[in-house]
Amino acid sequence: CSQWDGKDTSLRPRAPLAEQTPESLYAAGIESLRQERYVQAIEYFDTVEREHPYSTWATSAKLMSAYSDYMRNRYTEAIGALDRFIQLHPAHRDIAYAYYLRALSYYEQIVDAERDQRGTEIAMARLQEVINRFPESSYARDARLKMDLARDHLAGREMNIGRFYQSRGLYSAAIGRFRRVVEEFQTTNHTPEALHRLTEIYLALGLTEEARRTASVLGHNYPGNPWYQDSYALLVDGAQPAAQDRPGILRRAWNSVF
Amino acid sequence: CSVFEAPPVQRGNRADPELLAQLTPGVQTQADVQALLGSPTATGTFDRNMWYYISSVTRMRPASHFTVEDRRVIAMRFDEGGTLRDIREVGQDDMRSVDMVGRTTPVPGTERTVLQALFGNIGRVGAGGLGSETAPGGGPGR
Amino acid sequence: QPRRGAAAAAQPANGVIRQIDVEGNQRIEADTVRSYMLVQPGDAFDSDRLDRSLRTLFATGLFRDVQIGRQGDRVVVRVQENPIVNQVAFEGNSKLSDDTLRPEVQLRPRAVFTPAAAQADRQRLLELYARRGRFAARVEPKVIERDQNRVDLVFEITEGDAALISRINFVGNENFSDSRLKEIVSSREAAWYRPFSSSDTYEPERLNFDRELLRRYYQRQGYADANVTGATAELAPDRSGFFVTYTVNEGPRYSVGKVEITSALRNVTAERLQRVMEISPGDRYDGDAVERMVQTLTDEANLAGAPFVEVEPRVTRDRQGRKVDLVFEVKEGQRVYVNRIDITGNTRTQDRVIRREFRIAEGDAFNAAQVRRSRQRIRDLGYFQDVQINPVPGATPDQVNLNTNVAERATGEISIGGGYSTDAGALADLGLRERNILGTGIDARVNTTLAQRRSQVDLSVTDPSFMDRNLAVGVDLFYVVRDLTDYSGYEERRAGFSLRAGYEFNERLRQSWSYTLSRRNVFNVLDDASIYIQEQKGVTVLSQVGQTLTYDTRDSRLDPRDGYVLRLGTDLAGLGGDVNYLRTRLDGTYYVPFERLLGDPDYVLAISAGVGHMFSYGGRDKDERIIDRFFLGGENLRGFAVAGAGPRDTSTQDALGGRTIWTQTTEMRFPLPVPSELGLLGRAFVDVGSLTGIDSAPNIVDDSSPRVGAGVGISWRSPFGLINIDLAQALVKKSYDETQVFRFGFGTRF
Repeated sequence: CSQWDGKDTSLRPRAPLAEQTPESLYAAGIESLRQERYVQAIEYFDTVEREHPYSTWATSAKLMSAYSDYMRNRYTEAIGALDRFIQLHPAHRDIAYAYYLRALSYYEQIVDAERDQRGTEIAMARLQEVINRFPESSYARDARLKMDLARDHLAGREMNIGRFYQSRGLYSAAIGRFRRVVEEFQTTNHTPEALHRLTEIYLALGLTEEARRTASVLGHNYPGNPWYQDSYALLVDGAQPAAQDRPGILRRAWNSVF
Repeated sequence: CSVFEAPPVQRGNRADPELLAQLTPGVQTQADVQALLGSPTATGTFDRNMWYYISSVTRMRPASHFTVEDRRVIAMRFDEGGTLRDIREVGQDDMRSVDMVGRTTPVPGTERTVLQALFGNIGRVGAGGLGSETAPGGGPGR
Repeated sequence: QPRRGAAAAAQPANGVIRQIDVEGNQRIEADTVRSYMLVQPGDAFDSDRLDRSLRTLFATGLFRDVQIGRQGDRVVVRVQENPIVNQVAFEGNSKLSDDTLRPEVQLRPRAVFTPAAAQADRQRLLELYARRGRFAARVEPKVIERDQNRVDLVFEITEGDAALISRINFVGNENFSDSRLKEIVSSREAAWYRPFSSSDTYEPERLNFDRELLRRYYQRQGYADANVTGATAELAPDRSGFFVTYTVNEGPRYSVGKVEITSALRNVTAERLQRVMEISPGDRYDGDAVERMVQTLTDEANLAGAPFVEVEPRVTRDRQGRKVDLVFEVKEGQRVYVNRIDITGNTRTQDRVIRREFRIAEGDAFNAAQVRRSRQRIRDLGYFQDVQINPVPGATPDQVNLNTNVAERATGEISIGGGYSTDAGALADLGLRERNILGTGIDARVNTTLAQRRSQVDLSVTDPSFMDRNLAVGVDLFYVVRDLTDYSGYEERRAGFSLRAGYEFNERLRQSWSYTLSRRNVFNVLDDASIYIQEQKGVTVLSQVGQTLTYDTRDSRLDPRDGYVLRLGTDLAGLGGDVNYLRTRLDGTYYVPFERLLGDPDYVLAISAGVGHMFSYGGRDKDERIIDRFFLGGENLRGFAVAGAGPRDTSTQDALGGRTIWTQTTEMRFPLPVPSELGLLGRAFVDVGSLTGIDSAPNIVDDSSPRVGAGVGISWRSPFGLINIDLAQALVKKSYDETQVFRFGFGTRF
């Protein structure tokens, strides 16, 4: 039989990455991105950048490798790559997207309202940057939406701490926290509850006049809101508080596990 | 005996009766009161001219929240010019025991169950508004 | 410094710029350069703005050289790009590995190379070596040009040897010997038995630290005027190391003359404060004691209802009479309230779990003692490596914000316990414990023990603050099968559960209750086993209520160094169970702070003692079983096997336990001469104990004379848990006792 010289092309791996042209490498990267094989995509894009640093493909490759890192939840690497991209190519065609992707990388790292909220504050600053630099872009619209969600988080933290102090009877501490929500987070949907909590506290302190005034502001701004119904019930005896749609303790235990 | 007793803890800003006695409506301004008693624990929610000095004494109690005793609330009203108009201490009987409404406003992302808390994070909010086909620029010169 | 580019030729600033051309750029697009320029096509030629553009282009750090020229109505920008770093390498470093050096260096692969950045990195590496005591190190950055304007950066390092201290001596110390003072200073002489220690390298800052240590030591010993006039280091003639000399001027020794408290507070009298005064006339003067008194008086005044207090100690010296008069002036302090308490760094633990440990709330008066207490309580949770609370000025002058930063620690523990005892044989147990499940503060633990003669599974869950109240609630389930044929001649199976609840009366006193219901079965008892064991055969149900009262003044629960703890435990069995007994235990530990004597906080002497007694009631058939009795040996009497000492049936060598027990342990913990990061602590201990109280019967020996075991041990805080190794020898024992020399344990199980 013929001497098999091992030249069968299918066995030989494709030309080692280094010699491939930037276009084919970039296209291969996009292809593996589509198949969500991000590690491989990053490898392709990095090769483009390392072997052909001067081709215009390199700049797009840098952006795409940051995007792949983002998709793999490796936010710190993505942020690092994007910082470098923004510094090197401030006038690049897709600079808006780079800022947006960096803001998203910070946003994705937000943990729930019970824990450290420094990440939320940084994410809000980055989102605000996207809105300031590229006001009309579609990214700005999405950034505004995310800003509200992040602001909602910060308000949620204040409310948690406020309720913590109120449940222990430390009313002076609780007032401070709910006041901060009313003053600095009016646009979030926590404001009605904050106003109601203030009404509860002022009543408990015997400052009925102050409680009445707070409840009237709540009623004026959020007429149909169940929280106003609760405040009203407190001030006008006989009125019914909003339905306690609080699930029973068993249900809550079950929910909290699954 | 004293070994079992929990020490009283002073909470809030206790306006001292002797100092309060020195305040007479119509004389002092906000600055004087601030110098004498320190800044108020709270001002009116939407009315800067109402000042409240709130204080209480709490004591640790076995197997429950600590007890709140001797709660004292001083309400002061100032006119537009900032001079003290009215000062009164809220009577103990005005204070009602109000139990908190159980509901809370949900914060996005905190409704996670144990399993989610272990494995998921806040959930991917739209894959960066970008499908891979509409890659930015899709390469140079296009 | 890159050469400054020539500014625009000084042409008459007229005409309009039609176009900006960029030449010489390879990697950076022309648009990028134009975006940094302050002039755009259509602007007038303005040499000042062109010059400013030049400076901004340099500021980007992207270019080695920039020149802006004018040709007709076009502006030409010629740039020379800074190269990109391809690789960073280190050569000649042996003491410090590459990965310790790499984080110090800012230049990374694919970053822009600038000579300034390279110099900055060189400085950082030199500082790192200085910190390790190698002052003679030299670092040279070398640049290797690559194609396509890339460079490789190599740091050539010559480390040189560490400057060691060969001798320490003191001048002017009449009252204390050189060796005594050598114990006080933190520097040590280089010696063969200190191969790894870094305290024998010469470091200038350490000399200043030593001066302070010496001054404080003298202050503590009553030498109010003492000060360390000089701390000099000369290089030895053969350049092998440094001679360090401390010159001390001791001055006379003072004793305390008059002690007085003056109180300018409205509602707190001096007599009230006098109660906590610890310094009395005639004592030896002690600088530290005065500082501690200032703090105690402040705390006492706060407790007495004056939230804002300042205590000013005035010390007047009478040189001839060698007397010191102390006057503590207590006066109104500056009024400060806590505005906000912000907690950061808690990536896993919930804010609530930390906030409920605070002894101070927002809106309260700022009280340093309460803040210290809060920090200690958060530390005692055991979830954090470090807790820092620092007050920061708030919105108004009389408000302060407490910025609290915590550094989380892995609270999940996998503990592997092991041991070899003369009777239980090889013993291994595996424990999984998560002290802070999902950051809610709940502690859950499951342990399985697999041994030649014992297998046990127990599960325990505890919530330290149930419904946010001052109430800890816990439940334990356990299933134990023990094969004790070798030393007691029977096998035992126990299964059951216990419910626990605990609360605090105040900062020092806490109490916990527990109810235990368990079903015990003693089976296949050897026929040659002791007759007293034969009686135990069968099933018994234990229903027991127990309480423990704890009075705890230690400075920390995890790593105590000062104070004491007393525990009174009483267990009442009956309530429908088959066994009726009342068992009480009283034990305590006192920690002697050596810090004041030796100045090194790692020396701790712990003296503990315990006594226990039990008796049964309700007739013979309700007597307690052997397994309910006290046992001596193993944990509570090192040098002896588990239940190795105490009453025994001599015919069958079975241990029978006892109704009355007392134990006493003296343990000295000391640091080992190795770098402290390893977390190695040595200890030496002497255990004494006795067990008695069995009804006399034939061939039972019950000798209540005390047994003594002594030995040494090492505990190593390893990455996956605490490892304890003990070698102990039974010094005073009875012929029939069973000893055990070697014990070790990983994890917290020990």
